[in-house]
Amino acid sequence: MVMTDGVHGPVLGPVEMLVINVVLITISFFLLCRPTHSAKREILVLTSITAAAAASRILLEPFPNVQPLTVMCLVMGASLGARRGMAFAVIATMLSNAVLSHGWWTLFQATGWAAVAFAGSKLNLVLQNEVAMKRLIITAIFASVLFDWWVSLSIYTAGMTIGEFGIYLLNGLPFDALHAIASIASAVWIAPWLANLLHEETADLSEPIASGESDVITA
Amino acid sequence: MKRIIVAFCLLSCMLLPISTAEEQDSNYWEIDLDNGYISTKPIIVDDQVIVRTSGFWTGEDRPHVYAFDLETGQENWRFKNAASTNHDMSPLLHVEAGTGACGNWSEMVIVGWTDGKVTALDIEDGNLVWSSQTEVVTWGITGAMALDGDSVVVPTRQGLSKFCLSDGAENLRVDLPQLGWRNGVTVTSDSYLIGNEEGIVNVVSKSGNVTNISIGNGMIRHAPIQTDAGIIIHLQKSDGSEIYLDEELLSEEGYSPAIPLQNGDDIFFATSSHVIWWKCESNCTFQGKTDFHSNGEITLQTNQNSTSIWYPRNTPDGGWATGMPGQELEMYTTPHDTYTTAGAAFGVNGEMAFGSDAGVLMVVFDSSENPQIIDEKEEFALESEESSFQVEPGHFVLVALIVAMVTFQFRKDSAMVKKLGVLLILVISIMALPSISEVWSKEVDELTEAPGDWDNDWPDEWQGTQVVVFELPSGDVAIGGLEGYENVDQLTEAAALELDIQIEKETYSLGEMIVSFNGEELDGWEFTIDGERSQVGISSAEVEQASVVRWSPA
Repeated sequence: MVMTDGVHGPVLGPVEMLVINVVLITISFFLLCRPTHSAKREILVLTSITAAAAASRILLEPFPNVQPLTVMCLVMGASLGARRGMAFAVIATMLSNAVLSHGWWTLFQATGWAAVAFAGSKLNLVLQNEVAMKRLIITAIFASVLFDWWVSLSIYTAGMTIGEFGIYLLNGLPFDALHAIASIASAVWIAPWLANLLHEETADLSEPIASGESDVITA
Repeated sequence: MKRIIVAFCLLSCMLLPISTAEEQDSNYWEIDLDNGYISTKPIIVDDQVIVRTSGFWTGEDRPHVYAFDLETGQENWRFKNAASTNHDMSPLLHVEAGTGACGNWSEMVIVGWTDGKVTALDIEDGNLVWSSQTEVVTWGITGAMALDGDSVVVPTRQGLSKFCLSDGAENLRVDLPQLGWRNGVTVTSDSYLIGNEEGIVNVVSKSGNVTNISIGNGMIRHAPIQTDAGIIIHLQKSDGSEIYLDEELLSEEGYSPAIPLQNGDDIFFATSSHVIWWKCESNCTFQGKTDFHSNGEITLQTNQNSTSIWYPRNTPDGGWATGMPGQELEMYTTPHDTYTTAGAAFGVNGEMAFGSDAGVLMVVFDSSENPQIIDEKEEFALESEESSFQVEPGHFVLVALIVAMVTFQFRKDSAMVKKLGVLLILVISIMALPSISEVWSKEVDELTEAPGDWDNDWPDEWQGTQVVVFELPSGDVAIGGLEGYENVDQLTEAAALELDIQIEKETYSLGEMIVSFNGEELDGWEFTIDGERSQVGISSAEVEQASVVRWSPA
């Protein structure tokens, strides 16, 4: 049963939504946690951080546009690379939206935060476990505003003119500003801790760990 | 690994309920729902009170359904519908867990929305169990739904749909030619009864065949009432209202009828003038009438030895009256009284829940009889007079942050001072956002061109002058060629004088408001200037020399 809705584009029925959620989360989870050499530990670390990120969105939902996930995506991208950073963004978005409500906008949020994570992976925001704070704050400000504008595209409908959409974006500027301020706070409070955690918990993941089984396979 | 455990602990903390009642004592709590009016009565189910808001649609505010712990006021869950953009007035429908031909279902609450959606929410956690879509013609669902075995019957904007309780699958759909508004549905042994805006009761058999009864020239905005004597309708008309038994007129009454209540053979009605009581056995007989102004949901409170009828007062004074029509009523007032259409809700242990257009949910505990409830009311009101200043949680956070900054400054820990400073700015920004957003929105509105409201059928001489349109229930009336008026108040007065339209106004602290045109209060009146809603009242809303002011029912 596919239903339509005039405000937020197509709305999927419960079964379709469940199937798409499961498929997307499974693919993203594989991309995020595809084992290198220490599967259990890696999965535990990355799953915990992702769950905490999703929970932070739910916890902060009463505060309009306070989104620590933006900075977390930047740091995850910078620390773990584009693939894992983007997968983290997609999973955190979908898990949190399962509580906050799914819809057409989920696609824009997931791709938006994935793009933020991708940007994080390319901008040298974290070197070893040290956060380049000034660079991170500037990036977070731009990423917050650009993310909001990208997500705003979800309300763009066929009958809407560019001017009307511009007015919509203008109306949202105070909320964009709050997102940017919240991202600065997240950068100052969360980013160093997260970068350090990722560094400590995943630093040895790239080192090969020998096991009898792998020896047999590779022999 | 320790950090991982800490992260899990934090996660667990985050799953704790995220808001609590603002004010608590042993006998009362309240919570400001912020994002809308409470237009329909809360429901009390076991240890929860569930309420819906009808959004203000400013900023990110949207209609919600909330569930709170009945005893503590702690929020258990909430559900938001971002796409619902009109007044949501369909009452919440509680459904017990059950089994039927189309499957099993858990205990849930079913919500009808003005975007046409019907959503079934799990009563324990508010999770969406299923959702189905019905048609939208300006509005979607606004009337009361009803249960029929393993299905819920939904009065849609232009018809009736029936959905299986287990999965939301539609198992009956009937399109009707007339539009409906607040037109609840009644389930009888063999059919569904549903009224509409053209004064017709459609009788839909359970197999989907439709017959109808034309009641009169007016609107049916409630679920028809079936009695042994026949079907009771309170017909809303442009010059008042009429109570019918089938097609027989029983009495003529005042404006804007409330949603009538049936309690056995007793039927209770209300209008802007009276509360009224009829008893319908094999015939209907008039029982009594008392002066009162009620246009919303009439509700029933049952005690061990007696029953009371409660009527919400839809005037600026607000509050609820209780008592039997024909006798003196007692008023129950609260700290947040204003226009009220939501009925009072009652729990099995004497709990009472109230909400009004102020958007504040109030819960009072009292297992005793009415006189003591009224005593509580007086204590209640006194509390509100004393609490002119309200300290919000944000104030404590600000103070705590400032104290912490000063402390770290003394310790010369400038890094921590900076971090706390950023947090302080964030908290201030969050607190200031509603005001900033409102001011900014007004500034942005000035950038946009008014959509205009010119009708090509109007005389060319009206071009470049001031025009006023009244969308009265009897039809639109317009007058143009007016000049020199500075605000909507002056221009409306002048137009009404020319057209011989009687205006009734009331004065509030924010200025004057139009209450009725030609005695038509309806659900309130609102105006646009050149097609745009005004952000200010009639005295402050300035008009240009070429403006169209349009008055329409809210």
